[in-house]
Amino acid sequence: MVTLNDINALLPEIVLAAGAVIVMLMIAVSRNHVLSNILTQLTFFISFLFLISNPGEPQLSTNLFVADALGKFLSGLILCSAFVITLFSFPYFNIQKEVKEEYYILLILATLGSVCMTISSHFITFVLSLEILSVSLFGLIGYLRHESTSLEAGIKYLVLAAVATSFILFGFALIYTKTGEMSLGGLGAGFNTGVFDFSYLILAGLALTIVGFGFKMALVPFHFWTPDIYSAAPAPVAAFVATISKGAAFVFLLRLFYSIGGLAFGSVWVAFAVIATASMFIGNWLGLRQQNLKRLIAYSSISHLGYLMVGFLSYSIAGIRASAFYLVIYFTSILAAFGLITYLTGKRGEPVMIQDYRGLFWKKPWLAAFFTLILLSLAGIPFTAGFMGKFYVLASGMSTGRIFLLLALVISSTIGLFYYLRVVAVMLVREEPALPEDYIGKQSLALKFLTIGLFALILWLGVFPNTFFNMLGF
Amino acid sequence: MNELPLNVGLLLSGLLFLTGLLGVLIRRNILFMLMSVEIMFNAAALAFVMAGAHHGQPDGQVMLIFILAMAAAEVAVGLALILQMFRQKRTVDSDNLNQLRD
Repeated sequence: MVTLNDINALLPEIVLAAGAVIVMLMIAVSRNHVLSNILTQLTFFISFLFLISNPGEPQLSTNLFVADALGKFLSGLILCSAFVITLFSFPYFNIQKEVKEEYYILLILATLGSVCMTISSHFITFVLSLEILSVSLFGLIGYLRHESTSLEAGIKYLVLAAVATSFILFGFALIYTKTGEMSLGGLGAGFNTGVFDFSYLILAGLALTIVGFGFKMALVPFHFWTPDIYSAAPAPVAAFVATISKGAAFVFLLRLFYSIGGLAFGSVWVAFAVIATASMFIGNWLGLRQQNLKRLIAYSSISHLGYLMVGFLSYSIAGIRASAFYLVIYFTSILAAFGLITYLTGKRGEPVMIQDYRGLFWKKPWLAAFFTLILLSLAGIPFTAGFMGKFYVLASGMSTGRIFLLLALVISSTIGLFYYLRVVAVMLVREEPALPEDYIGKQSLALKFLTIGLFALILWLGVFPNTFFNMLGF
Repeated sequence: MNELPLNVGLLLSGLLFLTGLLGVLIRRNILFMLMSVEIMFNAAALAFVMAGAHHGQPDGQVMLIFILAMAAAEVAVGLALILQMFRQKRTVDSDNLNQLRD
């Protein structure tokens, strides 16, 4: 039975769903880009207010959703990121010729899917929220439909995401065949009391599920789509794909494997360890030769997801806390990176090649400093957010004594340092800047404030991580 | 009427799944790729229904209905994208999607 309590716990999601409908109806009455943007911001804001008024104690809603501290924290993170992306989107789409208003419906729906995914505790709710997210993303990635690259990216993502979803579905079907349970609570109870064991059918199901999640989170060897999609999707959408959709999928992966205790089973752990190590090395390795900034961020995000898996693999409460904190830092850095690309977008398009940034330091020292800070944070240099994230992940890995993974993390981040510093070196070249004169950051006050805010956040997270760490609540 | 053994059902859905996967990998026409993805979805749905019948629960069939609805939504968006591609390139061959590369 659905009680009033359940509805209270689900109010943030209800607000999001209602917001999408309201924006759609508003478009039917009158098309207005400013109004759609403001309504979207309001939706995310109100949803966030309801979210923080939730108590955050574990509370099952009808077996399908669980409102706990982890879900609350990640939902909050997703809503904040979506809010930031909304602000970035306004100046970006204002200069596009495409119809703009429908973008916000898709954005709210994609956020709804991600938020629902973080609180799912049942296969059905997970699959449904995954599809809400994916189907909105097809539209978002291919949104600039008159550009053939954007369209190509949309179609590629469509086929790959559909295949990934069917892998997850078939994996779930195999698990369900063996156990007759689809809720994480039921599965967890069964595995912990020894009613279910890791038979071949379950392992096959878990393997298929891991393949599907690997696609969704762009882990090696399922990462090939990432650079293509990032480089062709509009910058705010690329930021969404890189942060929110990966974070949401990660939360359910964590819930699934922690509740059934899959990581205590040797071969599952080894499979994840191999995937994590491969992601760290191959992501950083492929990044070395990139000339395209968006592709470089894509490879960087592949390696970051590998670092995140180290926290996941430590299979402890400290690991969950470290992963959640790492997600905050990863979200901030990647949002800032794509935010900067948005900031420098002009009528002729985004500055995607690294060469576009040559001489930036001599023309716009503050922007160049901000960019350098983002790159250092992605590389994990001390006093930036990225360093603290890696520190906590390493600490959680250290407590379980898996030295091999920690070595992989340290060595691969050293490789990664090269290509981040290469971009910094390009900015320091003494040449006339190649950037267009009419970039959108010039006029947009919101973009300026956001850039300063993210700048401060990266520094703050790097210097005083504890204040933030205490906010986790679990 | 005798119930079909579970293993046979699983084998059937597994074969369907592989057929779909092969189709996605081999076919060059995007319409056929979408159809192959549909086969993969339906293979999973079949496995769910069979498992539900085996456990005597309605959950498997509930999952089937959700999967059908999901697949329909996905194909609707997919066809819209493919239509746009056909307008631009006058072809639905996936080999023509080759602008994005290193």
